[in-house]
Amino acid sequence: MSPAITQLSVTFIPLDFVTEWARCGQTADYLARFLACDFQKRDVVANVFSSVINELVENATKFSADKNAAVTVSVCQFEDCVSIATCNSATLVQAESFRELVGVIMRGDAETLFAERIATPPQIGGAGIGLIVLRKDYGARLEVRLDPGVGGDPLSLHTTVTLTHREVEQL
Amino acid sequence: VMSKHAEYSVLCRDAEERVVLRGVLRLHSPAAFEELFAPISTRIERGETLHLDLSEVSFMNSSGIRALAMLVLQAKERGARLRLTGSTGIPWQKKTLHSLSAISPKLEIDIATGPSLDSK
Repeated sequence: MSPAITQLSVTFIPLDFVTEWARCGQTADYLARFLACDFQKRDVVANVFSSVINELVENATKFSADKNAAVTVSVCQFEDCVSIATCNSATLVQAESFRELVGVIMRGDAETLFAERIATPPQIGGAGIGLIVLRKDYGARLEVRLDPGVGGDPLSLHTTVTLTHREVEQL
Repeated sequence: VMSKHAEYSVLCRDAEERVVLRGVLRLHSPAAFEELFAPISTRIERGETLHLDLSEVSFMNSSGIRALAMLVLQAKERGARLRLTGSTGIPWQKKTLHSLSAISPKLEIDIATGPSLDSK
């Protein structure tokens, strides 16, 4: 991948966002505007980025194992794509089931998965449908990485979504 | 019944088929959406024909999409006619609403050509 043209990271405490839920959307809107400023259809693209970033910020907020441990959300603009990444604390069980879910989404047909799962109880608290929508509607590539915690600390769960400019500009 | 919030509103009047949703629908959980959509759900339960106008909903998170799907499934079970309308001008509507027909083939979905966000 070519070097990033521009990037921005924001750190927040999930407990704060749980208390003031609108901050998830406000953060998503801000980062989306930052990413969209070089696009011709700036408002449409910002709307798409905001939907994607909000989904990741909401997930990181809800599923942080330690609600007082900082969450980082980073956006990066590359020549032909953007990446949006979150890093939050997670238990091993949560992280493994999340990684498995992402694997299923990336290997399966997103339309079929959506139809199957929208009518069934949420996977790990509801993350399933949001991630499937990112894949189905925005052609997102999803990746998960786990870093071990120190001592008895929770793991660090890194989730990265990549969207190509071509896909975003067609919306 | 009017639910009004700084970021969104739901206007659901008895005897009117059209229910108008507006704004940013990013509530924190499916349960919060269940509460917001309760007046709609009550009418579907009675078998009423409803038209949910989503064309002014600029954002809906995945909890909202799931809650919307629950209304679609409820209408299917009750045999109630349900129509969803949206706008091509709002990216999530163009993409996501059509996918709901997979869970209820009788669901009516009408995505009208609307102005792009960049032309407003």
